[in-house]
Amino acid sequence: MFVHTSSSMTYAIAANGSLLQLPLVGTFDVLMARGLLELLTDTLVAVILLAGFGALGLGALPQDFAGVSVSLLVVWLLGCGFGFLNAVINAFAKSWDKIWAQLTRLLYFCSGIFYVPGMMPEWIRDILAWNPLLHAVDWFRSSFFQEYEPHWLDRSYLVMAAVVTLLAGLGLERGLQRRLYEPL
Amino acid sequence: MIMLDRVCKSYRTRAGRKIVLDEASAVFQSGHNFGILGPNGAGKSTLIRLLAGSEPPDSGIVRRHARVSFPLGFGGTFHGALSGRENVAFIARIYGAAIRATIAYVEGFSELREYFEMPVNTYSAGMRARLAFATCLAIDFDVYLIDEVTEIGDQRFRRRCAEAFRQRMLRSDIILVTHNPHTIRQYCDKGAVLANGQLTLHDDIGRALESYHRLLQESA
Repeated sequence: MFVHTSSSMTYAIAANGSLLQLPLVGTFDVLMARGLLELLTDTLVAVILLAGFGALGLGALPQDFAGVSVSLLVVWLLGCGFGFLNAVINAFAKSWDKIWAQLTRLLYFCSGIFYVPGMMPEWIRDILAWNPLLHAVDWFRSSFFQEYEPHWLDRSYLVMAAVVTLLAGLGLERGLQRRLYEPL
Repeated sequence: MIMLDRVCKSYRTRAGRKIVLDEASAVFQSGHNFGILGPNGAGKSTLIRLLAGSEPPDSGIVRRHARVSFPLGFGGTFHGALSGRENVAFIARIYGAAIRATIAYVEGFSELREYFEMPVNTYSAGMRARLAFATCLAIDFDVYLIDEVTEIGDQRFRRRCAEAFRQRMLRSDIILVTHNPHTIRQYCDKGAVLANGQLTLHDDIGRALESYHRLLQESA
């Protein structure tokens, strides 16, 4: 959710250059549209996957449906925040999308996806807990399996990170709007 | 009516700043058709985009007291991955026009036939221009902004375009960029010359052409 949203929003301005010629369409519109598209796509993919597991007789339903939805929504907001930031940065530094792609690879490893934080030595976990995505993953996990109760999980930290990046991204987009896109 | 109030616009290029408009003020009154003249690279297309609102000025204000069209030019305002039909539906929707009626009109006028269902990426330049013309005509604008695309399509299509525009010009105005003096005399009653960051309006199209030719000779 996070990777798709934040990466594809980076390209939204270049991909929709011709639509930006329409006076009614602005950079915010194409960025937000791209973000919403990613939200819908990934939600649909998740539903199909879980339904598939369910059909195979694997326990596929999350135990706390609301918790799962909220955690996904918050991490999507975080992705949107970084998406706006990426779009702005990419307008000024053309190779940023490549660097971002590498950074997200790194984030996969630091988010407790492959290695569950519960199995980590405490000092490593203390460092990685600075990564908002680790909280996103564990929030999702703990809503899915209620017996999983990570004591290091801080939901408000993730929400705060999402709000801050979203505000920063939206602010920069608004402030630098006219320099984000140059025709021809 | 479109008003420019002390508008500045410039671009950064590798060779330094390129100034298109320097504190330019002008009034494009309704009820008149303007032809915009200027040497290559003077920024006529940029001026059209400023008038349309596709681009903001660096400073100054552009006031529009009319429903102004999107710029009709070679750049194109279509999304390449969508079909002609989908693009028209999108534009009709954002301009609040009746979607079915707009699509029906464009389908008939553009004569794209099976290509109307194909992605715009697969179109030739002429087909794109036909789609853009038809879409623009399908929506009721008060002012049409046209950027050097009057010479498109075959003779028959051009005649139909001219006819459709003559009809539309009873109610609407056009602002036209072209190098062709014949086209400009055919459509416009007033002229404007853009050169060196200055935009000069002429009440008479003949005088605008004259001053434009003098300008070209001076620089030659």
